[in-house]
Amino acid sequence: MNLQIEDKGAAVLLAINEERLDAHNSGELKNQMLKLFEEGKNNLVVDLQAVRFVDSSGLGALVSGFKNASSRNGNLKLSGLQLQVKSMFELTRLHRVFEIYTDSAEALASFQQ
Amino acid sequence: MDEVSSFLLSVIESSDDAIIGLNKQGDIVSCNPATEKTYGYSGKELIGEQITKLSLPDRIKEISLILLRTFNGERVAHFQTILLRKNGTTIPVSLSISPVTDKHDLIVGASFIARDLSRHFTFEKTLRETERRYQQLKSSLELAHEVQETLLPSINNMTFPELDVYAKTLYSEDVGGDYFDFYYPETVSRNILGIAVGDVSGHGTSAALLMAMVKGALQTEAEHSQDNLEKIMDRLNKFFSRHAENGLLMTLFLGVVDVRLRSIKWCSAGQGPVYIYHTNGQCFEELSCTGSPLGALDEMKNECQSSKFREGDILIVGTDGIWEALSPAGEMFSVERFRQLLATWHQKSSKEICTRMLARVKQFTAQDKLYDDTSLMIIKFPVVIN
Repeated sequence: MNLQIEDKGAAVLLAINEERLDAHNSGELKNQMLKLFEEGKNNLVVDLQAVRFVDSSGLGALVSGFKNASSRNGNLKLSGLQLQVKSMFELTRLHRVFEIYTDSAEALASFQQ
Repeated sequence: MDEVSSFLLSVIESSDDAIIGLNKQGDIVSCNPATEKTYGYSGKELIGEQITKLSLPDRIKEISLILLRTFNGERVAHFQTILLRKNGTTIPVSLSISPVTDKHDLIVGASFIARDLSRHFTFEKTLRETERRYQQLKSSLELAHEVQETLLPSINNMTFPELDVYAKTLYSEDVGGDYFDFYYPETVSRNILGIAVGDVSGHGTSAALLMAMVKGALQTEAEHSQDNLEKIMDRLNKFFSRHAENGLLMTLFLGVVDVRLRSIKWCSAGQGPVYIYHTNGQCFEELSCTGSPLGALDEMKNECQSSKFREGDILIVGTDGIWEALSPAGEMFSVERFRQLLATWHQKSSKEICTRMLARVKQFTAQDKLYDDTSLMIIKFPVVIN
């Protein structure tokens, strides 16, 4: 999976440079997030700007990251949702679970407040 | 030594096969490092000895007979036998023995090449063992498939003659996480049918086990809570969150169809889109989700919704295996195509709509195996009711 991880201080930015987040690659995202949690990095921003489609496994990976972050007093926020991806979150009512920002800069800034 | 000879010598020296030169008496006149390494003798110990030094005592004749044929000009290739190492252990080999001639084409000896087959045999053994385990696993999965088939209710046993109901699940592997079910909250009314369609994220065995657990829990909850969908959903969510591995989700649509009142109420945990096709207006009404998939949140409140239907209307509950199916070119089947086909087929029986749709999805993917579990439940509302 083409995943760019960058420590931005207040939070770690994970930019998913894939068109699809699905059963094929969501396991890897989950593992990468677990690795960050083990390093004590509990504030994450997952940037989905490049992602055109998320399936239920992809949603599962994000939910798992969110739950893990929350249980460690951190947070997982999302940014850059394309229209189709956004409607998937709305359909499944998961837009109420995640804090969603227009872009990664905004999401990162929210951690500094 | 000229360049070609030294090149050939280097090939022999670097070979993994034992390459031994013999004179016409069968004495060893040369051997390469692989011979020393494989058989445990030094070159000194071998040169001047009969080649049968490497034979098993009861197989000495075998090599002698081959050598006789070789010295008559015949070439023997890929002859499988067993040779003996210095330490007394044996080694399976494939022998290639060819005559060696001088510049007048007279046979002066033989080249004796022994390829070590022990690794090959170990590989074959491992392969056979792997094959055996695979077969074992395959038959237990086939059995699991049969068990799972019995978990899905039989349409033929439906006790609702007023409704034209059909549902089908195609699993992408032997077992999977898609699920449909019916239940009968009979203490409420005899005219009520409970339905469920769900999808555990991912597919395969772990999804199947969760699906089986949810089926059990749903049937028990429905028994207690009858048609109180909010309560059933809340309990199922807690149950799923407790048992499923972190990150596994299950979308689930629960509906209660009241045949007499011509109404349907539902709770949908992220399962959708679900539609009623209104035959009169030829339009789709989307039954929206009331909550997130099971497992997403420990506490989830679903607020039940309801709608009305008329004669001939169709309730359509499918899983994402349909609209997320991919063509070989990477195009998605899409909700639009799904709706378009439903509208075209709305006059057909529920069985026919269901069967045609699943066949169309399979055809679209152009694969023998579906990428995801795929389910569809079609309910055509009462045609005649008193």
